[in-house]
Amino acid sequence: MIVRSLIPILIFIPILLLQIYVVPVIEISGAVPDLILIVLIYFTLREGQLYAMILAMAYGFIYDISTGNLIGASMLSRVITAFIVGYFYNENKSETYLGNPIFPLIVLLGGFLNSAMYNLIVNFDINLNIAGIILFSALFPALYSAFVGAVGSMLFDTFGMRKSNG
Amino acid sequence: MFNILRYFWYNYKNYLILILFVTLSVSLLTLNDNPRVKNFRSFSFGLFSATTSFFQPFFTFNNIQSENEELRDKNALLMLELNRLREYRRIADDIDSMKMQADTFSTQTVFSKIIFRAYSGNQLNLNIDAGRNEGIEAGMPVITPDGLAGIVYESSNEYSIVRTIKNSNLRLVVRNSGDGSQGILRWNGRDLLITNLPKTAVVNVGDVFVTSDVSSLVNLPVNIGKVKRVLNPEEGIFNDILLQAAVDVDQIDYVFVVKEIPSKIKRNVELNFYRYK
Repeated sequence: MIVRSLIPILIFIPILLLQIYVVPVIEISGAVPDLILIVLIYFTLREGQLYAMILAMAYGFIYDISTGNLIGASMLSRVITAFIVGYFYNENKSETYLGNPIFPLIVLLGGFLNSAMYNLIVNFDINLNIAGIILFSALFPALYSAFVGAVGSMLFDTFGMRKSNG
Repeated sequence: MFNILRYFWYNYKNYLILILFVTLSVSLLTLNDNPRVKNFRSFSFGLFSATTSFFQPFFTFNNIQSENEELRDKNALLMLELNRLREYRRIADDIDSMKMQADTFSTQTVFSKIIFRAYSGNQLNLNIDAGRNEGIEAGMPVITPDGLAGIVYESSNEYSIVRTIKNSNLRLVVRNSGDGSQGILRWNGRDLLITNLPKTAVVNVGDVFVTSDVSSLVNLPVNIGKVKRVLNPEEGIFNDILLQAAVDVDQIDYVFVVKEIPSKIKRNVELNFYRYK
């Protein structure tokens, strides 16, 4: 039980390093996939809404303080995203999401919500075209995250199947 | 009473936790300018940078180690000097004033490597390996040999966060090096724009914009970029310009921090009369 609850934290450290050091290398027009969000959505679908909100809070806080961002911005957007994505949690289906096309679609929705909320919090300015900002700066990174989520999900699924077959 | 509370918690715990976390996040957001929170943030990102900078060389994909740092430093200083000389040529009547300006150029820069880039939404901040120990303070301009990269936002002893030009919270007064018209540089999340430029300004595609000497953030004439397109030539009171940034902050590996805080210099000058009592 203790090991199970430590897994998200243990996974988070390498994911944070990848997000900060490797992901900027694959940026496209300033958009990058959000690996932390993909992991968060995975745990949301596996463990449920309440667990996901607590995890989102922790992930958001650590991300904010380690990158020097506005403290609270990532926390808020990730907690709300985890709450909404948590409605997709189904105890009976939690193990079947990976490798299933629904996973990248949920990542797309979660990524869009997360980026849109984050940009609204950080960028709020009456002179800016809010709809345009949300569409551009939320949709493109969300699509990118969904693509990475789909690839990751397929790899994970394939690896998992090989393991069970072998 | 206890049963009611238990029933309430059992049925609505997700909503209660959500409300609690949202309240906590919003409270933290409002406390970002609190000195204690700033200190905590400086300490935490400094600690994170120090503990993870070990990984940085593994992920540096360009062959940057062989670059000559001293030459780059000279290059950045020359860029600043060149821009200043351009400015003086525009306003000077004779060559002597240009010489005098070159002789009095005394700006210092600190060379620094980028530890990592933090993409958050459409904001881009850089974490660099120079901090208060090198004399870096919040507000100092950060440049490359091509032009302005951003402004130091916060510093710990050994590291600093740079708010790049791709950050909607960074706004600068900039000037067309051609006709001298001034506007406000801003990042709208997608493009680098210059707004509030008078309709009477003569702006052509390819014109170079530099930071204005009236700016309280960067008053050295540092290259910002070239005009790509005038967005609204036929409408509105002001012109909006789409700019091609001189510095691609997504790709740079090194920066130079200019050890000057224009706002402090200006404030000292502006408040000179207070000192004469």
